[in-house]
Amino acid sequence: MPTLVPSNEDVRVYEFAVMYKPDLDQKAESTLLSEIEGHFAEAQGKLLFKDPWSRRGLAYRIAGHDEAKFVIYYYELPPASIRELDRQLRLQKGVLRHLMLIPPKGYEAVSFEAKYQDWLKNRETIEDVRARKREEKTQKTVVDQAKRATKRLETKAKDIAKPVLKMQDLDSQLDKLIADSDLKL
Amino acid sequence: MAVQQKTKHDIKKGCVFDRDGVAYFDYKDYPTLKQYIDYFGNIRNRYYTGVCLKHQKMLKNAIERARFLGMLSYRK
Repeated sequence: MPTLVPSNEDVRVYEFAVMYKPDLDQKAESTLLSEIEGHFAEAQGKLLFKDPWSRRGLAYRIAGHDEAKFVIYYYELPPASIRELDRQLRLQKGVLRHLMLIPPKGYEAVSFEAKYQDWLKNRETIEDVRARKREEKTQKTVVDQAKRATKRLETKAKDIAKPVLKMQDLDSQLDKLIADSDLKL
Repeated sequence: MAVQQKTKHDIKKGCVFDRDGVAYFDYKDYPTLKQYIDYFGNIRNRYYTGVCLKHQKMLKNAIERARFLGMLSYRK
């Protein structure tokens, strides 16, 4: 992945996030993207990196759309052309919103689409979390039951191990008591 | 010299991003930002997350950009 460094002192690296309508057909979409890239070309921009995203759900409705498509561009541009470019993007039909910013020094451009798709595949869904919690709960109850059972067995063993006087011993002790000369029955 | 016992308040976890040396939060990094948003869409207080002030400010910036582009909600 490229590290974004401007080639000369007259230009700066800019990041553009363009959000556009998701329901365009393939032809309309390609013309829209070419028009957007045309604006950059007009402003003497040099493309460094491009990251097109697939259709994504939005957290809230934007211009009547629940979903949108995104393209992230990294361009090298002269700073004087930025204001005009902003105006052009705002007027562009089909573009819902756009964001332009200066990435920090030594910023490495990465494809976030691939990262996002990976995350979508491997993330834990609500169902997974519920199942995991249920499993943990059952395991805990099983362990507790086993502990209680062992404790019960131990106490039982203790009770059994207590010395019980045998009948013969008892008889001999009784005889001793009876045989005592001081005892007056 | 007697060694003083550490109390609960003496043990601090520290900022996760300080430990990893994070210099910038990307507004496009949805899985990371999502952890710092509560059910209602508010930014989690750093008292609870343990993020340092420097990184909390950076997080706030990234979250606000993501909200503008509809990736995160302002209010649920």
